Amino acid sequence: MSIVSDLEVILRDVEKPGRYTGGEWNSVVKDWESTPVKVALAYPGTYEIGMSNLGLMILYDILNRQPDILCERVYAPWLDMEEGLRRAGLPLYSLETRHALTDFDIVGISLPYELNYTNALTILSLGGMSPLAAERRPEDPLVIAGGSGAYNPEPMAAFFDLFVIGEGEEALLELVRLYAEWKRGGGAASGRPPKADFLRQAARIGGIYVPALYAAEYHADGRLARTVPIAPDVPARVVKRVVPALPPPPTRLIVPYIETVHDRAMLEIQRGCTQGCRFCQASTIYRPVRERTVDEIVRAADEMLLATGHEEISLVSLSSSDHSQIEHVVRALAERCAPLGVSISLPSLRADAFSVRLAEMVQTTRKTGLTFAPEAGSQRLRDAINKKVSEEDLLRTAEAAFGTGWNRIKLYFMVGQPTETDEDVEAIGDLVRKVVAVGRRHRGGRAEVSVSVATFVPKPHTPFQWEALVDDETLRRRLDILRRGLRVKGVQFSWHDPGTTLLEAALSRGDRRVGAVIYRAWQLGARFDAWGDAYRPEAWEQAWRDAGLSPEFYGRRPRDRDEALPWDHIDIGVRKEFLWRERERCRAATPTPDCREGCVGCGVNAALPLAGGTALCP
Amino acid sequence: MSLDAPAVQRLRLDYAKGEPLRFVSHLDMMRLWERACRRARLPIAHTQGFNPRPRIALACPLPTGVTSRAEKVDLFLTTRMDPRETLRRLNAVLPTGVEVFGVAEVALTEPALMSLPATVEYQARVEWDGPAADLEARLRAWLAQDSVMRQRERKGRAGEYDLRPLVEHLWVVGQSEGRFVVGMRVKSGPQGTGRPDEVLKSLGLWDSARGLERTAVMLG
Ligand code: SF4
Repeated sequence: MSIVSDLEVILRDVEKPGRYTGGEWNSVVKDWESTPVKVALAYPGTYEIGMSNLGLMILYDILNRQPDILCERVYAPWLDMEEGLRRAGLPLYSLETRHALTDFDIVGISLPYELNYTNALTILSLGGMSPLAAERRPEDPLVIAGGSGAYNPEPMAAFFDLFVIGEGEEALLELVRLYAEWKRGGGAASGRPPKADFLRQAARIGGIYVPALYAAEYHADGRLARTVPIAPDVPARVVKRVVPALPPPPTRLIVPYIETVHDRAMLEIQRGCTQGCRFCQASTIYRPVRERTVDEIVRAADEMLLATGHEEISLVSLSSSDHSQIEHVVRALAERCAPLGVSISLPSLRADAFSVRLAEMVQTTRKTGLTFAPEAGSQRLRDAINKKVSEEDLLRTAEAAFGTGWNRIKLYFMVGQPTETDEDVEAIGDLVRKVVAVGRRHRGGRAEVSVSVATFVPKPHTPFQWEALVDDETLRRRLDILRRGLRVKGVQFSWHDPGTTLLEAALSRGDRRVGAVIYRAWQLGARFDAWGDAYRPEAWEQAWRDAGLSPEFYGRRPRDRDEALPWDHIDIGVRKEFLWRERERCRAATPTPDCREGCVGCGVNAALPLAGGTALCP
Repeated sequence: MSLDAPAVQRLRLDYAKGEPLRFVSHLDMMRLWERACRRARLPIAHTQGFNPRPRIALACPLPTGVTSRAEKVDLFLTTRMDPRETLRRLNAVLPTGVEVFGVAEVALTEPALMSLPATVEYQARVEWDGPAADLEARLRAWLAQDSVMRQRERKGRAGEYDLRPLVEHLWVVGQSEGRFVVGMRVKSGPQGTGRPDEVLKSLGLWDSARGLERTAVMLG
């Protein structure tokens, strides 16, 4: 294929052409002809965001370590690039060797976020195959998905041959090995067993969900009745995969040329979170918590800095302050990084004085800003959503931060949470004003508090999975309350309403029938739905109409305790009864302790094989 | 290694930026050099102040979309390094497409690379139906003009400027891959920079132009 010279002409006219050229330091280019098994890993968003996805980087590293497997990357082309490729009749290609997606054995797409589902369809179509699994040719690649979106695979079931549920470190390799064996046994030659045969074998691997082997049945009123296996030997429920102990992290991270969203070395120090915030999907799906040891972290950091030359290293986890050795980790890293001119970033800090001390240890020269997420303004609502921050904690944190030289604190809140009242929202303003007052006392006019507010969207596998998305009228009223309450000097209030909240809510808790809506919207031009300048609401409106469905049914309808949920056959280890109990405790505004202080019985330790690992469950 | 140590040596490297990096911008190249120097563990000096920056300087910004056989970068070091050893260490950690082929020591007191006016040459392959003489005539006619007004956007505002005085010479280099190769010598520096794509556009040769490359940079 002589893509190169045609590409030059397309690329000189597109925005940020460096997204599409590859060749970055540490990218792995293997010999195409002599490597038998070929996998493309795709991210359904821009290069800048996709390059910051640690999950894909981990899998890229693992696959490329195997001598007989090559793994290359693909990102969704921005609108101008899609048009350029289509006009030139060129396929979407991998960055490493510029092969069309149809030249690969397996195409894996990560599904981190509902609002880039349509981009997954673009990737497949522009890659040279039908987005619909049922319409793909036998010679087309096996098309698989993973990532947090796979925990409710149903809306995307029509587009994938299978889903990897849970952590891919082991499962993906087992799957690729099985595929390679099948291919060697004549699978890819003429007269091979049909792909259906392979899929049936794959369904026996733990964590692999093959949607074609299950059927969804509905009640007359449109609610789901059940999802059942329709082939022998297929598990009724697919249990998510977890690695009992975290394997060494990838250290030869790809160093991008163009600026990316998290343009820094990413080092995962811990997976999972024990805080138990009830709105949070990451809190349930990534259980149990596993930590890396100080030694492991320091060794990986040394390797990573030498291998990448990055000027910043970020300690990745859902709640950094919770790592049992975090102080040692930070001290050891700070000692190594300072003389190299490398800075350390500690995202997701708990709001307490301890966290400010940690931040103090890493911020030696510049004190830009500290970020905390109280999520709710009143103590009652924080108890209801199980966010373990008290007003006292937050004010003491502000005291410590402004008192040690920071000028800016950033606070995240959510509106539209279950049981929320107008008074709870008013309380956000009260709380912020108190924080500002602390800032004034220490930093005078320089003190700044920026407040960022998002709308709560209920997600599958959380205690709020039965709840309705807040209605527009209530939301508007609460925003007014916020705006009035936050009209204070020193406060920057940002509210992002992309108009896509209902869509996100509907896609997130959709069933199989929603696949037809996604497909239709994509045909009508829906792309990059999370981007204001690309979002096409009219395409979605028509798609819902054409399918005879409504986003309100999925997004705004509260579910009963006994309603079958589209993701009931996906088992994350946390029991549904536990989630319901947490929902009831929310109603009573009763918090549930952090399970590091004692198991609260979510069920994950009994459901998953953790023996011998580093999981912190008893 | 200390961030406050003063520079004791300045090395000027000649390097090539090849096809894989055609669309990597000038700013991105800056980051690339900073990271490569860290991977090579070179004792790079830093600027003083609140936000110390590595002292690495590039000459005449290369437009995005152009490759080059003639780039220069200055590195300021806090410990003396053997120039050959520096070159070897850097080439081991540079991505495919960037290659250092020359290194020389330059006095610390010499003016900054960026501040030097320069003459820069580019080449591009263009399609041309007809003999070389016709193409040469087109180039001569362009050079014979008193002015060539072009639009440019600066800080979001459109403005006009005269491209003609920024171009010293145009010529036909030869033939390659079934196309003619056109050469350009333009000015680059604080008084104005001739953009090679603008020259080709005003010649009506841009649409068929391929493989635009910087072939020489003459400082001072
Ligand atoms: S099993 Fe117990 S300790 Fe483990 S994650 Fe669940 S609640 Fe926490």
